[in-house]
Amino acid sequence: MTQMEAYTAFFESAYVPAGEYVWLFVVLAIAFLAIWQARTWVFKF
Amino acid sequence: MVDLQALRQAEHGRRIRNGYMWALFCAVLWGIWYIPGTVVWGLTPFVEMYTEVASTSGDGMALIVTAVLITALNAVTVVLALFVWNGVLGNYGEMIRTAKSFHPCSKWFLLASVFGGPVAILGSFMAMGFVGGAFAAVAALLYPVIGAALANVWHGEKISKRAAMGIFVIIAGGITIFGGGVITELQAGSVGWMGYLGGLMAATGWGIEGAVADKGLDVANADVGLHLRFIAELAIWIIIALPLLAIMGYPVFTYAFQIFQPLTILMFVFAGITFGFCYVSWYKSFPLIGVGRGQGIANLYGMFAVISTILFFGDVPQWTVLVGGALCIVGSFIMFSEESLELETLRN
Repeated sequence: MTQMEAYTAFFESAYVPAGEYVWLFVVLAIAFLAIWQARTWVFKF
Repeated sequence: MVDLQALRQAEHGRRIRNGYMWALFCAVLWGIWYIPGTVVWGLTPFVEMYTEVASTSGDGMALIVTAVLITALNAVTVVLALFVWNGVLGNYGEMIRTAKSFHPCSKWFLLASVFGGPVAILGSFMAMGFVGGAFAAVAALLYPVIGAALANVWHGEKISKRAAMGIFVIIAGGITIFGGGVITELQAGSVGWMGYLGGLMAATGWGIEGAVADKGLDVANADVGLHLRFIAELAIWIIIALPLLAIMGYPVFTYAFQIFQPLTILMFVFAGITFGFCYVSWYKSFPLIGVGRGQGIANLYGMFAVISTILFFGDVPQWTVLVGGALCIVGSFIMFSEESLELETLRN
């Protein structure tokens, strides 16, 4: 089994379409939101 | 004329909302961390490493040895992710100042790294290896009780009846989520006492970490304090834990040098982002709403972990997960709806 097959096997039954890629974008979106909130708070002072 | 009292109350309300927001960020990111945290176990070189160690030392030990290597590598990417975080916030100068101030603050972060790293994480993996994953999850959910009690005794942090009730309802929700699996695991566990010791280490480790870190956060910036804590934890894994396992004959370094595969590296990068940002959010919530409330809300990670695995792995939820999830939400609302003036002073 290749690395890619091993990876995609985890997402075979995902309810989210293209789940093996979507979660990466979800993480980036939440991480961006968190860092933006932190920066907004810091630059208030 | 500006009403100073009204301004003060508005500012106080904002502080409390921000504290809950950070604790919630922590819970969401912690829950999502379970995706890269699970997938990495199925990739090279960890599959081969687990098989090799299990063939000579058994499954329990294979899980712990592999987990120590994964945790050490996870700490590397967490430290890198936090360099991005602190770079964006312009905190590098503050980092050097805090690191130099060992007596007033960085000693607390060093101590936090010991309790949160080797004690809690190793304990959690022992519980997972010798009893089971659900037992480890439930044991870890109990950490806010230790954290809130210690913060109360040590810093005089106030825990209102409503906050205590919220924490207990969230813990009850978590126990309901994982409860079914625990009974099966307790009946099947072969080296039970090692697992129970691990569960105790997980609950006390993270609880003590919160109370100890809060002491350092009295005088240090949370973003910087957490980064120093992770640098210290990384040093513990690389300088003490991994060489110790290598001396014991486990091939940790052989496999550590085999991680340079695109998907394995990608998983560690995303594990670093989720875990690093989750942890920094956890620390940021402590000075704003207190250790007990911060840890209580962060405990919603159990529910978010279940939601992540349902959405992306397609795990079918059992009825206990739905009841447990509902309890977690009720517990959060009990805490969120607390009158903000009740939190005007967090300590006695």
